[in-house]
Parts: sequence; C-alpha cells; structure tokens
Amino acid sequence: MQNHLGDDAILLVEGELTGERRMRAEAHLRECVQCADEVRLLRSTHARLNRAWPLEHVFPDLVKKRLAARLQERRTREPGGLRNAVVAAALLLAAGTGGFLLGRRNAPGRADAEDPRPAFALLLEEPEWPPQRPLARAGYAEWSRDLIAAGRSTGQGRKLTDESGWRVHRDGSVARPELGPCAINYSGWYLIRAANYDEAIDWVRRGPHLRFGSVLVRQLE
Amino acid sequence: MNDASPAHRSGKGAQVDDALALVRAAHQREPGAVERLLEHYGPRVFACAMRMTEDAAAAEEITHDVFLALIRTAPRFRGDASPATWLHRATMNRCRDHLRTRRRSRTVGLNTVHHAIAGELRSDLRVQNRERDDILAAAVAQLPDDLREVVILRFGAGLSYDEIAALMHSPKGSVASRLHRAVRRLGELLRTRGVERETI
Repeated sequence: MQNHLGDDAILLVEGELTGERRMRAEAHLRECVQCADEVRLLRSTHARLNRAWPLEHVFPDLVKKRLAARLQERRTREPGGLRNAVVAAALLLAAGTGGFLLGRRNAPGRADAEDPRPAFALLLEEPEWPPQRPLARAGYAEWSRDLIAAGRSTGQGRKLTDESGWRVHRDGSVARPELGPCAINYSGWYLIRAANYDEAIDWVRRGPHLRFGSVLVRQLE
Repeated sequence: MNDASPAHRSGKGAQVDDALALVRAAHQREPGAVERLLEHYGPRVFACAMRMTEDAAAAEEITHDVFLALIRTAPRFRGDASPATWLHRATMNRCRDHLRTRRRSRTVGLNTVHHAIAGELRSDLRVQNRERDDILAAAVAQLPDDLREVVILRFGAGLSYDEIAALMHSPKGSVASRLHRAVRRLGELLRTRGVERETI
C-alpha cells in the first residue's frame, strides 16, 4: 500500500502530529485515496489495541497486595531489616531416644516471656558421627536469620558438643549413651516459637538440615 | 542525588525528584512506601510483563523482581534516569530472558491472561472481548520482536513516545517508525483473518 505521509500517518492517528504538519497531512488525505485508506486501517487497528488492553483491568488489587506483602517481607529479611534483636538463650540437653532435659543458661528475654506461642525444640539428628562443623554447613546461617526475621526464633542455633553427654535414668543413675551408627546422634538444636507442630515442622522443612539427617521436633512446656 | 537548583527544575525534573524520593522511602522501609510505589508504577510494569510473557504468574514474578531490585539500588540512583524508565527497561530485559528460556511458540493464546484478570472484569465484558482479544493477541505474537515490543510498551504499558525512546535508547522518530510498521502489519494481519474493522 502506497503511503505518501510516511510515519506522519501513525503520528496523526496517535494525536502526536501538530501544527502545520498536521494541516498538510489532513489536506493530503482529502486528495489521496490510498493514503486515506492507510490511515483508516491504522486508526481501526489503533482503536482495537486501545480497547483490548485497558490498563485499569490488568493489575488486580489482589496481585498488588500480594506483591506489597512479598516485597516487605523480603526487605525485612535483608540486612538492616530487623527492628529488634532479641536474644534469649536456652540450653537444651538431649541424649538418646528417651527424651531430653531442658535447661536455661540465661533468663528468658522479655520478648520470649511475653510470646504466647508454644516453644519447640528442633534437635538435629545426624546419620554419621561425628559430623564436621554441622551448623557451619551451607544454609544454616540464612535459615537462622529467616527464623529471627519472622519472629520465630529468639536466638541462634547451638551446636552440641561431640561427646555423648549423659542420660539420667529414672532412678537417678547416670550412664553414657552410646554413639555410632545404631544410635541417634544429635549435633545441634534450635529453639523456636510456632503456633503449633504443623508450623514448627514447616519451618524444619524450609531449613537445610534435612539434606543431612532428620530433625526431632518436641514441644516445650 | 539530584542537586539541581530550583531554577533549573522543570516540571519533568520535579517529577523525577518526587519519584526518587518515593523509591528512597521504600528503600528506607518507611511505612506505606512500598504500597505507594506499587500504586504508582505497578500497573504499567505488570501490564508490560503480562503482554510480553502472556503468563500471569511469570508477570507477577517479574514485577516482584524488578521492584525489589529498584528498591535495593535506590542509594545508587543518580537522578539522570527516572525510576519509571529504569523499571520498564528492567522489565523488558527480564521478559526477554523469560521468553528465551521458555522457548514458547509465538501463537500462544490469551488463556492465562484472561485467567488473571477474570476476577476484575465484568462477565459480560469478558465474554464480548475474549474472542476479539484472542485474535489480536495472536496477531501481536506474530510480529517480529522489535515491533512487538514497541506495541506492548505503547499499548500494553501505556508509555509515551519519549518514554519508549529513552527505554530503547532510540530517537523518537525511530519509535514512530517502528510503531507505524507494527500497527500497519497488525491491521493487515487482522484483515487477512477476516476480522471486521472497528467502527471509529
């Protein structure tokens, strides 16, 4: 299709052509059937494009709110995003499969004492013994930060010593638990706050340890 | 940081300063800043990503990524490019990456797009427009990349000629030329499919 107007044709349709250029273009269209047809085609297609893609319908509120929530959560997790650095230490001693003793090295911090959610101990089990620097493996530091940023943890995870500790039996006697391939070996623990077991387990699944071993989750009183 | 004196600040310059202030507020985690940023730039960014990828989930991910990147890089903004230009350029780059990795056919339909906006459109409008939009979308998908992008930026994201020119590092005349070729080719494609002309 012949077009004597060149790109002025689309500028005319778009309303971008002004002054003398516009007047010349409009005068030409009155005399040239082919250019008039070209401009009619452009106008028709232009109108269709404008009607087909109305901006106000493309960005639903639901998507906007979801994006805002994700962006804010992500920024909170990044350096400088923590508003409080509440550190409360709890010492967890565990041995074997019979259970564990809970002790506190420090008094709980204010946030910990006021948090109504139950506390859960996450005991990191190791299939091989001894593990090499278990909490220094990839993913643990980031997961710890995520827990703190989400308000689920009041402190970092702690590594247990490489010896087996002691099991205190019900009669008061003590014995060394056995370590090795047939026993359950714990390398470390985390103490978190969660609404229930489901949430605590969900956090475990999001963490790095399942690549290395299982995790025992126990609610604390 | 833009240190231009008030005498040098044109309307456009003042707009860029306001935009930069908003981005910095979001960077500093001021309450409500992220929402305002999304309110201001989100529709066009999302629309652009949606039209480019024809995939609502991908469009949402791309929108999230570019806003996150914008907020993070706020301290390094010099004020010579507006956040809008930066956002759209980043969006187009990510869309191109997405399309490259997806290796999708050009004739994909609008099903995912309609799914995403179905909840917002009146049902009668949706029914009326669906068939027509599908044909148009298929025609847009057939355009060469450079023409398709300019159509999406102009009609999908609502960018001005100046904004598209800044984004593509092209003079305004080149943008007009591409748009002319694109709209003409679309018109011819629609005509060959027997689609009736819109009544103007």
